[in-house]
Amino acid sequence: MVGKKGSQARLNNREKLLDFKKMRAIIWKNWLVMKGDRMRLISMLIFPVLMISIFGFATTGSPRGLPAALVDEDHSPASMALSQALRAVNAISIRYEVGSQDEAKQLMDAGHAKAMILIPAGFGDALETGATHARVVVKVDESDATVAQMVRSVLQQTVAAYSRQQALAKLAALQARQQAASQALGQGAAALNSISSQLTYSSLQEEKKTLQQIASLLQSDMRQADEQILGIKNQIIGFPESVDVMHPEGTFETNASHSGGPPAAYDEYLAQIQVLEARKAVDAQALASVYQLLAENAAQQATNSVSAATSAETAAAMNAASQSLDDGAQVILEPIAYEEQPAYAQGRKQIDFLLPAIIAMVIFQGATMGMGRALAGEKKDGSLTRVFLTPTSNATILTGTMLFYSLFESLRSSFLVFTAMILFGVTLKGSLLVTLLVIIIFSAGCTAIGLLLSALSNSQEQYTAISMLVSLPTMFLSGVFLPVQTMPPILQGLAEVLPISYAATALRGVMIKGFDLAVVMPQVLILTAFTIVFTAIALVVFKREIA
Amino acid sequence: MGYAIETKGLTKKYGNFTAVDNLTLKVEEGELFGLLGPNGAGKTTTIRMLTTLTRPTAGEARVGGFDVLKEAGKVRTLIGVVPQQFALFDELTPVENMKYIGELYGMAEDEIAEHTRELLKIVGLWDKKDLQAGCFSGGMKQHLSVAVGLLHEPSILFMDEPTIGLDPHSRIALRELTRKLNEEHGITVVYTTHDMYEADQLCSRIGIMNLAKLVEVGTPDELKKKIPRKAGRLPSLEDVFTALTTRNE
Repeated sequence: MVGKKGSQARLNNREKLLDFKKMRAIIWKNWLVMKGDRMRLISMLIFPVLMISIFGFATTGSPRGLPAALVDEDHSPASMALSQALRAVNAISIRYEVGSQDEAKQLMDAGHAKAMILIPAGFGDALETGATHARVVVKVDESDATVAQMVRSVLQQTVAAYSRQQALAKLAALQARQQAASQALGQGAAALNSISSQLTYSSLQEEKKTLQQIASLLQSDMRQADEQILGIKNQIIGFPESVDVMHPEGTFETNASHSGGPPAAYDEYLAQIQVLEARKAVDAQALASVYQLLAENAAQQATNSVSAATSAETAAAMNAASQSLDDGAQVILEPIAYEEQPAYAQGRKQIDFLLPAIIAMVIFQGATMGMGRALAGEKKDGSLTRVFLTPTSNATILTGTMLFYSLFESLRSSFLVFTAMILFGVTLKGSLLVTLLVIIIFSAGCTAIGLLLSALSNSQEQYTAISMLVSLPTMFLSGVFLPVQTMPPILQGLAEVLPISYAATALRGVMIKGFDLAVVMPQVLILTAFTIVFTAIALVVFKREIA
Repeated sequence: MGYAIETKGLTKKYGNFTAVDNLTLKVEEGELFGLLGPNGAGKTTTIRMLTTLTRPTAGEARVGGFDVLKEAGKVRTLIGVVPQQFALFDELTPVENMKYIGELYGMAEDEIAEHTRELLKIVGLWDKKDLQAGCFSGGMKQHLSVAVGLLHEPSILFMDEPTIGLDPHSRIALRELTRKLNEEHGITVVYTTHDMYEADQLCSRIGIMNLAKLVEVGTPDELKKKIPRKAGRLPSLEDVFTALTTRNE
């Protein structure tokens, strides 16, 4: 029969700070509690699967068929071509084609269209003439920021692609024109060359020589005539010296009073001189013409050489320019070729990158909620009272509870990893063991946070309220929903003091980048330190008190 | 024979509110001590301080010869409690509940199993030993709570309104069990109740609390002599109670 002997016999048992047998009992009991509440257990197991499924499906496909309204005020072939291009985009679906902006606005207001695209009148002309920019106006419904961003970027890409296509077409036309011009120039240069080849250098030289010969003949003839005139003058000595041979008429009368040679011979001499003078004048005239021709010859030679050089140069330059234009057309339009290569492995999907953060979040949620249920909840419903009545140390009660939830969360996130592998073909690049190690340490850290929070609260309701303060920033700074790197420094700083950041970094490192334990050791150590510090604080703060 | 319970100036304050005021009380080993008082008089807080669940604000208390603050572990080893709240794990069966608590008392497995069978048979739950406690009625839960409280063979048993919500059959059975534990095994019992008849029948000595203070202590008969006779007859315990305490809404 049950009496009082047992309790007195156990009086001598020393109460251990950490009683592992009792911890085992606590773990076993928590498992029974978990198992006993089917709905809770099932929900807890479904949660990660649901989470991975939602993220998996939400991130594998890009948006499709977001409704949009099109207003084509231009009705030109160009605007039709653009609307054709827009129709080919999967992300949006042009459900409405309306006549005015107002109609499109109404559709957006009613939520039927998420975006409107306006092709203003004059679009085609502007595109054709290039006088101004051809404009496309897009208005996006901002009520869903993510959808708006997607629509915006899709439309931007489509219009940019169309614009580039137009630019390429224009450039091709320009190239054709340039080619035709350079061909014509080539032909002109060829013609010029053939003309100048007729007037070759040598023929011009020959003409020059001939002209110089003629000139020297004429000069020597003139000299002969001068000599003859001098000879004749010498024969008629006594003639007044003043007789100007160049002005025979004037001198004739003056010389009439001259006494000496017979007048008949004198006249004859004069006639001879006059003939010679005439010959000289003809010679001089001819010489002038020859000089003129020589000058022309020289000019022609100069022109010839310059034009030959110029046409050759021009043709060469045109060819070079045309060549570089050919080469450069693509480069001008796309100066930088964007090429993406997978950083870590072929065929990685976004879900692979999200999985570590999802695991971290699931662990955090599960562990904090579980610890709240186990401590704050049981404090409220009185079952923790029963435990407090036993000779079991706080440390044993708390670490036992932590151990259970660390184990449970580790198993749950392993389940999550396997689900991701089966459903979405996720692969682990690094070691499964290291992954599990990080998972276990982070689970312990999260239970320590839960422990600390439950030390501060007297009921599960209080616990829920307090834990929201921690879990909300943790969720949003975990990198699951939003990238942390783009956040303002203050939020990044906050993320740095949250254990989940280190867990996510370590898990990403191992799972995606294939890091081994040595590489993620800093994170593992930080998480361990977090766990120890939180547990220590919680043990101090935790009150074994029923209020 | 020492004192099972010995308090001196025991006080508990919650902010400005004094729940227990300067309580000095001695309960001898083997007594079946009744603690009576209106709602909010401080009975439950007193029991919580004596069972190490709440730290006293001032004063001291020894239970089984051990200080409730400095030797809480020893106190916990000695005492058994049937709390006002059922304090059970609803997801666990009676057997699992008892196994868990037994292990936390450091009991051996076969000892736990043996006591569990015996106690569940006594409280009439043996045929329901594998059902989840969450689906039990209030009375069944109370029975299980008693069984759990007795599992580790406590030397001092605190029962905080144990018969509340029980039908007359169960009340009688529980009273008989309490009496038997006290008389046959010498277990000291501290018993709170609002049932004056029950207190009168069961308790060897009674303490009456009012407005956080212990106002009177004595055997039922001694207490009855404290107030004037009514029409030549000895007053009932109820008369004593109403005379000594104030109505507390």
